[in-house]
Amino acid sequence: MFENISQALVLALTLKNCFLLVVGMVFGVVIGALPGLTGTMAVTLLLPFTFYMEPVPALLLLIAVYKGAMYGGSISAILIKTPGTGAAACTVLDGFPLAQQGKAGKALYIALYASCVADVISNLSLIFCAGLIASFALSFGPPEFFMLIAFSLTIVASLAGEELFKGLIAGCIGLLLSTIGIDLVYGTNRYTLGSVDLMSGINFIPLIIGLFAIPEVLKACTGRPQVTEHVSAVVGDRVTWAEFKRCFKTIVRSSCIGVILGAIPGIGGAPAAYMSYNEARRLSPRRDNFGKGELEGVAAAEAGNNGCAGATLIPLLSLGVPGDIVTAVMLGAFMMHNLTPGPLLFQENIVVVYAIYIGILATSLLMLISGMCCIRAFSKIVHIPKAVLFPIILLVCCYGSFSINNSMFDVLVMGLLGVMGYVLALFKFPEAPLLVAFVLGPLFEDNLRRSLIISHGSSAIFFSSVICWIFFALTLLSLGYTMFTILKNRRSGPIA
Amino acid sequence: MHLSENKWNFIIGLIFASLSCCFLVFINDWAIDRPNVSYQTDSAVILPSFFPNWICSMGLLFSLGQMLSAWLRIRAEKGRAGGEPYLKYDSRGFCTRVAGMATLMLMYYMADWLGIVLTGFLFYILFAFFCGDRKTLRPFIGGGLTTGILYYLFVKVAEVPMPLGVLDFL
Repeated sequence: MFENISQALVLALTLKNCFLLVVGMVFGVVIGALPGLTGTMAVTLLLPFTFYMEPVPALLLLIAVYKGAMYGGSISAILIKTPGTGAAACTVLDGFPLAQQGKAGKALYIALYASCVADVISNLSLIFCAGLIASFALSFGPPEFFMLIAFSLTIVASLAGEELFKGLIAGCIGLLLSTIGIDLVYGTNRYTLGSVDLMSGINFIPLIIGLFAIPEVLKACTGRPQVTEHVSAVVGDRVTWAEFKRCFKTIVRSSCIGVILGAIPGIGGAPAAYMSYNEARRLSPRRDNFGKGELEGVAAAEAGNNGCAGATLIPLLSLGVPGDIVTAVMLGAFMMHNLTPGPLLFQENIVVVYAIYIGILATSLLMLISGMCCIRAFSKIVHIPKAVLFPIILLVCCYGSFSINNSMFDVLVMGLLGVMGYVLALFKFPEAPLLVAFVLGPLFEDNLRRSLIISHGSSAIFFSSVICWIFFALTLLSLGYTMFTILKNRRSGPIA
Repeated sequence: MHLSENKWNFIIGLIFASLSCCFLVFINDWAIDRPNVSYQTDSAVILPSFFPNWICSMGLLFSLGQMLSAWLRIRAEKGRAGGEPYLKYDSRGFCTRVAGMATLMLMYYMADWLGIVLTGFLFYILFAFFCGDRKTLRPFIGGGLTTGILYYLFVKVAEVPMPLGVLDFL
């Protein structure tokens, strides 16, 4: 083990990797801070660049981008009342009132400190839990994996939000897109329409670029000059030690909430932030000040949100199950580098896993340093005009899509899926289920077919072990809970 | 265009239900090759069309669910005030987005003979215009800089064989 760790240290702590971590962190913060651009888009835009890198630097860069974007979302939430990411929406509640009171600096600094503490707690939970779960999962065979993936596909239902049927339809589209190409058992064509380019299936990168980046570019095509937001000035006041001490308990509690919710696939940062915020308000002696500009409120929301970041990697690394959209993209990044997340990753590439752990721990420190050095510069990001930003994003998307297979066909696929993504978004179809289904579809089919071959066609194999039964029960529970939540929300809310 | 959200949702369900039926009845048969009988070594090995057919059946089921849910809501909203139309029509925004989509498709054909670098530069200017940039010089400077940086990163550093078209001498 120590030999592996020392090898991982050599692999992770190179000058190049440290530089990439800083670049990734700053890039993530910049994208996360821009209203309308999310962490998913930040990771998506950098994904093609990592294609030419070694696996460890590539994955560290993407993780740094992800974490940077999680923090970056708070900047625009505090300064212009527009959360850069969905998970930062809760930060607005107290962050913006603080900015209006001329305490934008304090709000930004407490958000930074809370994010860093939560990140460390989240990373430690990842390091301690992922290996344990993976060693348990080593005993899984094809039927267990099939049931696990069936359970993971129920995430599709929870990612659908209010629009359950639209989310499920989007999931079906994702599954169908994943079947394009040559059938692995018989070697026959499926939906290739005689095209050689389609024989290897739709590439993951043009798909996510098309689904996540292009619709944003198309939405920005309004034909009208964009109005620049008014930004509150960041004055030099920092958080005092007494203020930080007062918030510390809230930060730790909120981080733990974030870790627990983040580790459950399909929940994500926004519910964690709101739950942390509610708990902080309930337990704080200054609860009356919440919503009017309370530092504890900002700290709770940011700690809850960032507590999820590392924890979402637990199911990804240990079971190969993406917990949210960004980890689904990360799963694609692992596969792009011939690494398959799951229990076998811990057996076959343990040095890479340790190197990722070391890099992840370094990102927390880098987040603090880069945040403290650049907080004023970051606050200017929200000034960037959309008419400059979106054409740049479009060009990066086109170059990135081309570079994966050196094929213009991928650029065409990106464009077509971008148009499809825009139309789906226009009719409020959630795109996350489509992506998760596209990623999990081949694994689902592969394990189904392998199980049936082993059992000579008997479906009893899917209920042949305790693990299968546990996943079956979890699948039913997950579906039942999703249905219950939706019905409850519909009864309490007005009819749309 | 002035339909309520629930009516649109019903139409969407109908469209996807029809598409699922089309896939189940015609498209899957036509677009998925059947394996030669001699290759079928074991009856336990499911056919290539099994999984797509299952997905389409699920799609049909969910589309019907979408239609039913929308229909129940349409019934519940009868007699209430109409509210705002679901899709707000803005002619300039609509035309610009359609132009944007057409431009995206055009890139595939243009990049082959004009090269991805020059096409990218032209597209930067076009999309800056679509995004509402009305300054004369800024799109040209931004386009030039972005294209230059991307050319350096991809062609010179990563050595990606980008189609350079008329700029092949570079």
